[in-house]
Amino acid sequence: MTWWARSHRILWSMGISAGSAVLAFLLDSIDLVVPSFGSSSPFAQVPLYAVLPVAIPIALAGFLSAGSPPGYNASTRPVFLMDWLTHLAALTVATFVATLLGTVGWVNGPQFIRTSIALVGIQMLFLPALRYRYQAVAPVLYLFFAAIVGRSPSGATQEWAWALTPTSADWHFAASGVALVAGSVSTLLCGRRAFAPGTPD
Amino acid sequence: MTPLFPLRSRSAVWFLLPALLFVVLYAGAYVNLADSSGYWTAVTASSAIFLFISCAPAGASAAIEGSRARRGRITEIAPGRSEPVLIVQHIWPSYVLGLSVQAAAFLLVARTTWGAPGAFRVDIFAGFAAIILLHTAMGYALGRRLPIAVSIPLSVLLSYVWLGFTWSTPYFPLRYLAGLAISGCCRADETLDSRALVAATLFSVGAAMALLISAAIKWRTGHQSHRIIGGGAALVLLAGATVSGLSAARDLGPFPVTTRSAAELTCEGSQPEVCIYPEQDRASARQVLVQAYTNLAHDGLKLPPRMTASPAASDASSLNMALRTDSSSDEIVYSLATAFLSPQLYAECSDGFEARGTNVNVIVSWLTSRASRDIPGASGVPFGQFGEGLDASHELQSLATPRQVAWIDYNLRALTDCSMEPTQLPSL
Repeated sequence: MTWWARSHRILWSMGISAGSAVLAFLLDSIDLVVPSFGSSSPFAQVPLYAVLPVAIPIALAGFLSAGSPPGYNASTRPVFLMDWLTHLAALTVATFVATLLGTVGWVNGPQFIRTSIALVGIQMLFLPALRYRYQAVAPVLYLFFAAIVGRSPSGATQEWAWALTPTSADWHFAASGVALVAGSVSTLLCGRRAFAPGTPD
Repeated sequence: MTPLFPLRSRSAVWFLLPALLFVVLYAGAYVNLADSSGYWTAVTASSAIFLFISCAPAGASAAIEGSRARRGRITEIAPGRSEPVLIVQHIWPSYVLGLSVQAAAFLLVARTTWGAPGAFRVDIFAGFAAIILLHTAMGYALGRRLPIAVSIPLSVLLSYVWLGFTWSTPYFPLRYLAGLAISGCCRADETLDSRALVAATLFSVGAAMALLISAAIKWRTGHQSHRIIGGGAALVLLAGATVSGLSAARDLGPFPVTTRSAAELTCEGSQPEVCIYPEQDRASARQVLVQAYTNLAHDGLKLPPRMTASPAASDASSLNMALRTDSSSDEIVYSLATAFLSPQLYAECSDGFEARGTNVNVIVSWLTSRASRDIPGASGVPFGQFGEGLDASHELQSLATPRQVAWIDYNLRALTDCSMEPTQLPSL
């Protein structure tokens, strides 16, 4: 188990989760300007606390990819279950730190948590298709498209781009939960197939 | 047979079409050509917006190439080519991809400017080339160091964050390091402040070199002396590039513009002498200006002998006005009318503030309506809040002309001179 945790850089992964929450707290007031389609203005503001959570899925993808050599799926231990638990642990750490920072007055903590869950869920959803190596492209592309085309003409965020809205409604958390459950089902049921013998690394 | 250029295996080729599609869609949806059209400096500078679209695929594609070099251990297995040669061969398709996308964006933005006086600004495009080089180098360095699972998304994200985050920061010199702020240039009477270009170019080239050197260092297998020299050189380059870029841009505000040289003005005529820039000099612009001036002079208003395209305040020798390259007759007359106001519309004097606020609308309405006579296509109605003075200006025009001019003359001076009491029209 120690070897597994080391080869998967579990401490690093948890550290990056906590670090992205702290960084989002410190850089709370900063907005990114991105080109935007569909709204009346050529640019959209995307708060940094909605972008920083993407560090969590990227780190997970990187570490799990590095820690999963060929032949991984022949392991007698439930390695895919452990990988999945790693995702959950990273989200738990991020949620814990963001909640802790909420007690010192961070109002955007819930948005950070919501977006983290959504992005990790989306990433897991694409594991069977993209494998660990390329799966982080999915949440990044989602962020990218949500930022540039996720606006209605009035400038409000479209519903499918819920992970980027500056305020949270209850259904945003529900949607993030659905993404996480769907991603978990996809990872646990179909994940092993992605690493079947014969698939190129 | 192996093709001369292995097109299908170079990632840049695959990124080209989606990136071009993105450029076309964005240019069609948003880019407002009216602000820059007809003036090559403004057109070239405003295409800086598209750095958002050209840098990200260049970086992502370079990250893939860097990752291939890392996984293939190309530099560790006794290469026959030197490291700089290897790096150039790895990244040039990605770099050309970024340049092509930026050039395509420029061609789209410039499509209404062909035939305008002046020429395409090579120096601005060279600045863009430096910026794209930085993003390509960043992607390549990430690809050489990090697993591909991390390097591709990170290169896209960092490219966007660097451009988008710096653009919204209140510390202006930082905006010019990223270079997107160059797109804030220019009206026809302004030109790009070269310091903005110097800052972006210095920083981008220096930081790109630092990144490429750090990508080439063999951290695990190389000689210790190589690591120290290489790492030191990269650090010094990065620090030097940052400091020199920031100090080049330290005095710049949110817009990278300076007043254009008066030597480029073409002046014609006398009483009035009209001095405008070649881009503004279309057949009708001078005629409209002269006609409007003559109308006001005919009424007996005291006018400076010259009209100049300049962002400076008007003075006794010249009425300075802002003209676009495609101004309509209405806009030209409006520019002339507002040229009579000082840089501040009216002073915040201890009393008579409201009266001055009302009078400024009446004055601009009166000037617009009197100046518009005999000008084809001019409606005589001013834009914006000044239209609120329209009714009162009609009332003013029912008086004898010398009394109208005396009222305007006195109240124009009273706007900014607190010792003068603004006079009201009887109906106000």
